[in-house]
Amino acid sequence: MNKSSQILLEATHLKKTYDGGLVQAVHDVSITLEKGKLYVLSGRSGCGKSTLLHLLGTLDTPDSGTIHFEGKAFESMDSLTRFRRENLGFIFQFHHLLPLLSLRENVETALVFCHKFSDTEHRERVDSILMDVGLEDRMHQYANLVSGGERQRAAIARALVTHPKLILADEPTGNVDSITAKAIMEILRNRIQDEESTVLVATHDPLVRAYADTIFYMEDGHIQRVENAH
Amino acid sequence: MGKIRTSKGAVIYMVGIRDFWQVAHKLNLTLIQGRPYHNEYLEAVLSSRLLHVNHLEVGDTFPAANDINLTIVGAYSAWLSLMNNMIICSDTALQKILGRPGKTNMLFLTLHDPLESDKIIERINKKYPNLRALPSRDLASQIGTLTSLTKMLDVIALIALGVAIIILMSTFVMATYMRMRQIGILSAIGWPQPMIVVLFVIESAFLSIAGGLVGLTLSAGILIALRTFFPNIAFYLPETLSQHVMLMSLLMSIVVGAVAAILPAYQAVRKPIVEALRDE
Repeated sequence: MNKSSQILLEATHLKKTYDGGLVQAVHDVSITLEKGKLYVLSGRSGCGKSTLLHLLGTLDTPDSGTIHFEGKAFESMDSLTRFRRENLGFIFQFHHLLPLLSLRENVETALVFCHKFSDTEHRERVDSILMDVGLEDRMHQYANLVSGGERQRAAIARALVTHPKLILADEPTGNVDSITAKAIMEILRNRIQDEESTVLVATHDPLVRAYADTIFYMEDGHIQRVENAH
Repeated sequence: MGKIRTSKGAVIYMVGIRDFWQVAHKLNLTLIQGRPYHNEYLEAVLSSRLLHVNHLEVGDTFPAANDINLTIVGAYSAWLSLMNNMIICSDTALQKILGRPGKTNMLFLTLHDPLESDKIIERINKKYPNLRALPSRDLASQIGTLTSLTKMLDVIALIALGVAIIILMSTFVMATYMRMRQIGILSAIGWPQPMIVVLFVIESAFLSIAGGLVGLTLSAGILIALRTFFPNIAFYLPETLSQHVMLMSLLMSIVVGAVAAILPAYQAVRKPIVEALRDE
């Protein structure tokens, strides 16, 4: 397989400013993500990790620069909503579950408009993913009545259930203890092996770096250094 | 029942009825001075306001027609100000004043089962073409002053409804804005924007139906309570809530709820997802 067919996402010269250009959140960042790898964006709070993640996940638009996903530019896509639904999985620091739904229902929300699987496959996939994240006994609990770790596991299940090509995780271990953090990273690592997804984790947690294939070190909106772990 | 016009042009309603206490009970009138009239004489009980305005007292006479004077034997007061503009005398006295001896123009029937009223009205109207039977709730529409009053009440009701709609809308708008983050989450995981709007509209419509049903239940309860504990005003109230009223109320609830949700939900889905997710 040649190198270009291995590339999942390629971003070049991304720039994003806020407050009329006063705050440069992301400045001239170019980044390439290959299929089936786990990447870590490391850096202190406010260095631009989350902004870059949002740009790569189509949750925000860059002021300049281009992003290609499997060779196709974001600008040329018919529907970014459908693109997100079919190709991306998001894990947020504060889990962002819908509080009045059960954990299972929260996971199912990601599948409502996803037409990759049949109804039977939907159910099997939800059951399987909830088992993978260790929530098979807690799936019918409401999201606002479970622990932070369980919420984050449910958020991971929601991100993985659609079998996304790219999983974007913003500080997924930020609000959990070290044991849960390790469990979360194991789940993501296994997902890469089982379903060949690509994972990009923005974090300042040193524990997460141990699971990375490649680490991008960010500072003041730039990628200062790239480190290949293997 | 009839009306006369005074020399100053004021319209005064006259009620001729055999038993003063019957009308007093029905219309919640209180005899505050004097006594009821005797049927055989040209006597009358006037409202205290009418006495005051015309500088009259119990014992004076009232020129009801060119050559007929009524002796004022009593004064009454009424809680409903509309009722404070009447002269009440015997039916024979009123027939004499109006020049229509032996004639009557209104009969009140009290039914054992009020729910049967529509059927009975239909039978009377069919059997006696010269009579016109109508339910007490429609009486107001047959009397000019009451018609004006009910129209005024309709306007007040419309204003109240408008205020209620504005409050309901602002509540829904606030409720939708407070769930901005949830809208952001659904957008982030790929829900189509129109479906998010539809979801909020359906939810609001269901909430509105629930609110409408609660309102109707309360209205029915209040109506029963009013008819039970205030028999004097039961005369002016419908026996039950009509199907038309119930249907319109529910329909209005749904429409108001749905319309109130559309705009904020639409604005919320148009907001950048990152901003929506940051919303507290």
